[in-house]
Amino acid sequence: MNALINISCFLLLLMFSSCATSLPKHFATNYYKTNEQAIVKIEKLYSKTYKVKPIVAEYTDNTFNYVSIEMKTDSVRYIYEFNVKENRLQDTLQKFGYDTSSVMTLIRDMKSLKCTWINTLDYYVDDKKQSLVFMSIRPKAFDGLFANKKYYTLTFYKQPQYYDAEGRLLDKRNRKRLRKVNNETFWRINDKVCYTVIDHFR
Amino acid sequence: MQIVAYKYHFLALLFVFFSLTTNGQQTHLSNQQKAALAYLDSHANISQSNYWHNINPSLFLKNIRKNITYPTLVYSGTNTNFCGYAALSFTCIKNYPLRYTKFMIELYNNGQASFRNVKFNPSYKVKVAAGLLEFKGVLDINHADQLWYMSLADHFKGYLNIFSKEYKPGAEDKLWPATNFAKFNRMLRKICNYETQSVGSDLIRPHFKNSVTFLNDKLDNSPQVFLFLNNAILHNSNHTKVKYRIPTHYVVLFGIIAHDDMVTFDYWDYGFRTKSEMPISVFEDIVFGVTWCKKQTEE
Repeated sequence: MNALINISCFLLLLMFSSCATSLPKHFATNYYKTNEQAIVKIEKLYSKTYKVKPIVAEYTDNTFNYVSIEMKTDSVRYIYEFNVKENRLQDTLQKFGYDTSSVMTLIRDMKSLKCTWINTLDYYVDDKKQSLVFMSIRPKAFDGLFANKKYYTLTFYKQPQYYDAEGRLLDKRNRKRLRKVNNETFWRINDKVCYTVIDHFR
Repeated sequence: MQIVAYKYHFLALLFVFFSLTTNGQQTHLSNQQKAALAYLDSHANISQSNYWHNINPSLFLKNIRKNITYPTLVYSGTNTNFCGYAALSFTCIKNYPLRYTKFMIELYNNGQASFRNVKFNPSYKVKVAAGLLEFKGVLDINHADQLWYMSLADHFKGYLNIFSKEYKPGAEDKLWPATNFAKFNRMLRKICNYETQSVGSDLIRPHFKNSVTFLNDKLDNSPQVFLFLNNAILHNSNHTKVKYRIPTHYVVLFGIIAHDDMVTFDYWDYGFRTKSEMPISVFEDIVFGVTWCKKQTEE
């Protein structure tokens, strides 16, 4: 009898956890629509800042108090972690020649949206360099007890992309093939923006 | 007249500056590099390989030229498990550019070749997949690196590869190319002919009396020092408090300086020299292995 109860508990647990990991598609698209303004603002500000001087920003803790900044010069990449309230953060940004006010706005906006990471990825189509912006968000709604996929990852392309009838991102050259980025399938938000939900933010 | 002379001086200085630096890299070439480039030039009209159908000859040659000239730009690709091969390539191409170039041309033309005593004859699946990797950053167009990393992964096997011996699409991000510490050291010995010494393992961290002094001593006495690190902490990718206590990443150590309770850790990975600041306790927590090498023979 005890064994039967244990097995039922285990199956119930398994059911809960599998429910929590398969996030409904409409929830993910609705999340984007609800927060579109804030998301687009961050992406635009980041792209503008990156164009002047490459930068990567990452919140390293759950409380969004510590930010790791990756600053690139021609030959060396510097990675420093700061408490967002530290004066050292602004001093360092200034020393490396960043527009301090833009980067500080970006860091604050990332914190309000619970955006954990923002970066640019270069990729090549027909040997021509393209780039996309990667943004990972950790919405509160994803913090279910059994949820293992907590990061809502968005990719922003510069050109419209191809999708299949189910809204999955397709390869440009072979449109029968899914285009996987970092081995993940991405889903359509609009022509240039796709999302996936994964267990890591980069 | 004097202003014109200054102008020419300035232009000459500017020319010298730009001819010395490209992407921040010094282009002062060693005799070996010059010989490698001359060898590459003698194969400039290489035709499409009968073995590597998806390797574009022009991208292949361009990639080798870049590797010879700027070995620090060697890039393992985004989200792949090629970091061990990239660390090996960095030291191999830097020290033996001519041997590397001859090997690559032979492997491309004949589908098989030997690097010192190591005979490479990559599987058909690897030969088909090389050149097709995408969304790996600049590795997408670095066709020589795709061929080289995949050939290394196909040839050298360790216990991590027992259940993933054959290449399948996407395997570059999984266990197929994974490199345990002993395998990494073995590759250094076989490919670079180094005399290697190491401390650490795949599971248990080495104990240091003073890690910074220990590493600086190794840097002073060995031309190349490699670290085997826990990447989950070095390149954090989630906010879970429980992190896997296993090492997965190889870097080339350039320097380490202690200040108060912090270290500035100067290393090379992913085609870039990086200076990262972290508490000493975190640094010691992530180091699982240290390998230092000596060249056995000069070439």
